[in-house]
Amino acid sequence: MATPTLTFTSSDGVDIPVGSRFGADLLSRHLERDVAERSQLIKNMLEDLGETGEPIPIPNVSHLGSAMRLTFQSTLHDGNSLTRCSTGDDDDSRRKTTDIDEWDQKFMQVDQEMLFEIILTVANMIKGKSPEEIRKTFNIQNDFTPEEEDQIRRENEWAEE
Amino acid sequence: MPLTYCHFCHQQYCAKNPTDTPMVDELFQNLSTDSKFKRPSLEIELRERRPTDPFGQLPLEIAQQICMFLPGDSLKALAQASLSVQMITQDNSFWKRFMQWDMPWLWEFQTLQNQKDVNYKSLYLWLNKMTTPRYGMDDLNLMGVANRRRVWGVCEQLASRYNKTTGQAPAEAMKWGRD
Repeated sequence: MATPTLTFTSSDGVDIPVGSRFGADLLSRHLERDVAERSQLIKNMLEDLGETGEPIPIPNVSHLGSAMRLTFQSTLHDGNSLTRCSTGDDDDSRRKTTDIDEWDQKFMQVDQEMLFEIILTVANMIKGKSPEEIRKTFNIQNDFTPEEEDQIRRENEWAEE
Repeated sequence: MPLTYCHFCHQQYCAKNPTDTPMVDELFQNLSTDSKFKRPSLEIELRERRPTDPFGQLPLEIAQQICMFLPGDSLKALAQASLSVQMITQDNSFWKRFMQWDMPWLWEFQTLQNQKDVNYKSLYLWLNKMTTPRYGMDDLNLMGVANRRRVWGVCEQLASRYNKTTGQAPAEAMKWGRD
């Protein structure tokens, strides 16, 4: 039996079929299933929901940033791809750059133009948002103490006084 | 027509010569002694801190490049949202580079030698506020620079259209290539 087509629905209601050419003018790559499954969130959802062929809603992902975020965040949120290239204190966890797996190597082989487009897309996702909105968009935990938040706010507002 | 006259008064920065700005040279000559720009930088204690947000997982160059493409207000908001970004923008030299990137119209600054003990974040925040073209500007000294900034902004919009018709890379891409 053929595997049902996998489709995500962005938070602004746009269906993104996996395996289709998505956002060709922005990111000239296909959103593939193995790329989407790099996100633990999406992987868990697929396991939980089963493959019914129904579109799967992805919260907090606008269609503009979907391709970037599904690739970028899957790597970043899992926190186990780019960071493990660096050498740690623990000898057991020390890995050389040659240990980067194939998917990560391909991921990093983006050309300059595409990297520029990705960076610009992330910047555009940030522009005009409040700190709270940015946290929500990128799923950022508040790592500041209340005192630090207050200090930063005061420093940033200094010139406005 | 008092109303019209008043309206003109409040937008007189538009009539200021954008290149005749001796006050800028004077400002930059005295940066090191201006108390506004000698404020100590805010330093968040980072030892033992492990930020969990995605920006901390990016290579430093990429994270900083994202910051460079933001307008000042958005960069402040991002640094307030993310400890990782706060960390990578805490360095004084970052703000000097950001200023050069974000204020290309302030050409006096582009070639300025490094000034000892100057808090570049303070300098950026202050200049950003003082040169933002706005109705009812009252600082005569920086009106010419505000007009220069206004004209530069208009030219940038025209430049992107021009570049599209001639097939040239947009300004951002040229900046990207420059580094």
